[in-house]
Amino acid sequence: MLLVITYSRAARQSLRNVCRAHEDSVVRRFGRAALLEATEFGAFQALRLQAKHGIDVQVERVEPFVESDVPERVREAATAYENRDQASVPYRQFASGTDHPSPESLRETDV
Amino acid sequence: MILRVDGRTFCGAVVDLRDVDIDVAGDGAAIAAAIRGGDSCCGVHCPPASPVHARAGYVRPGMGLSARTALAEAGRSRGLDTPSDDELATVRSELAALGEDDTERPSAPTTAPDADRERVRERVAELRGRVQALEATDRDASDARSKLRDAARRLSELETTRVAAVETRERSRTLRDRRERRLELQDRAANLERDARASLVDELRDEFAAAVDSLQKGGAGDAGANHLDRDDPFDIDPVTAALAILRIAAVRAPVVLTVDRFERPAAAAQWLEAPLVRL
Repeated sequence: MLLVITYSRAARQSLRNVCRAHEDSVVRRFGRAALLEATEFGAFQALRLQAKHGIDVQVERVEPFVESDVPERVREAATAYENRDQASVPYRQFASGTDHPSPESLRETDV
Repeated sequence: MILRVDGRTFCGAVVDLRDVDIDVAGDGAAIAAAIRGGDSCCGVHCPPASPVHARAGYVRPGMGLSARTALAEAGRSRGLDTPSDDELATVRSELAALGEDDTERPSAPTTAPDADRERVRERVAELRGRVQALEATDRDASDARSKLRDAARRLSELETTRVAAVETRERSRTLRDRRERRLELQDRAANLERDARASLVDELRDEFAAAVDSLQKGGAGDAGANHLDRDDPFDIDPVTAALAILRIAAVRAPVVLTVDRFERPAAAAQWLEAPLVRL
């Protein structure tokens, strides 16, 4: 999908107009951003906006998040932490002395 | 005021041009523009116009009017404050400190996909191996060497482009951070301005309704239809609203009037408490 983010009132208005006119190509709308279908038509609209508003329009390609792309230990840690007994325990404390990865090691590893 | 129209000069707090041979619509607009300090074929010497003039300073049949916005301007012209003013001033000064829109427009350089670079990198390694093998066995390596040079140059170009792309991305991020902040502030300012406007309108609503009533009672029989059962004082024709707003506003620059709502121009000027040009 194409993530289009706007950085000025004029660009935001243009994005709204595009979204309104081409609902079929819009996956999701946010305040000043929208996810467009990754089709040539979606790209065409994104490029149009960029041609009109320059740096006030940012376009990024976004991939769907697939849970299985994430190592199992990370998924397990997330589930375990959400099921913790004491809500006030920070993750660092929760993970120490267990097999769960530390916040540092999580930060250092790309997925 | 001193007013010059079509080479003729008029003076006084009330200028009546009804018996002067001029184009009412065209010259009315030109005089109103001159009063606001805009480009105009007419000349006028008068105190500076207030923002109310831009909205209601030219009262004519068929005019449009954002009555609430104009009424809020009228309140401002009288020096009224609102609870939003302090924060609005802070937001505006922060916006001003952010500076004008940057003219810098880093264009996203078109970069080859990583796969392309990897392919060229492999090609360079392969050619390097071939050159070494040929040289080791004393065979002619000149052709392979020239291919290696080309591939190495291509790889270096791709690397340079990639570095430039990364730099551009970082630069764009910085610029966009600033724009994001500006957009937040602009939205905040717009909300505060709306609040301020609402507060001013609220404060002046009764006064506005009274001015509208007084206009409708004081002659102007054609407006009588609006008189009954009016819950919303803003549900009124633009001419009446504009006159009521001008009465409320502190107006020092002349008002241009081309409608018959008063018996005499002097009566209009007195009711509006403003200098007047009547066409």
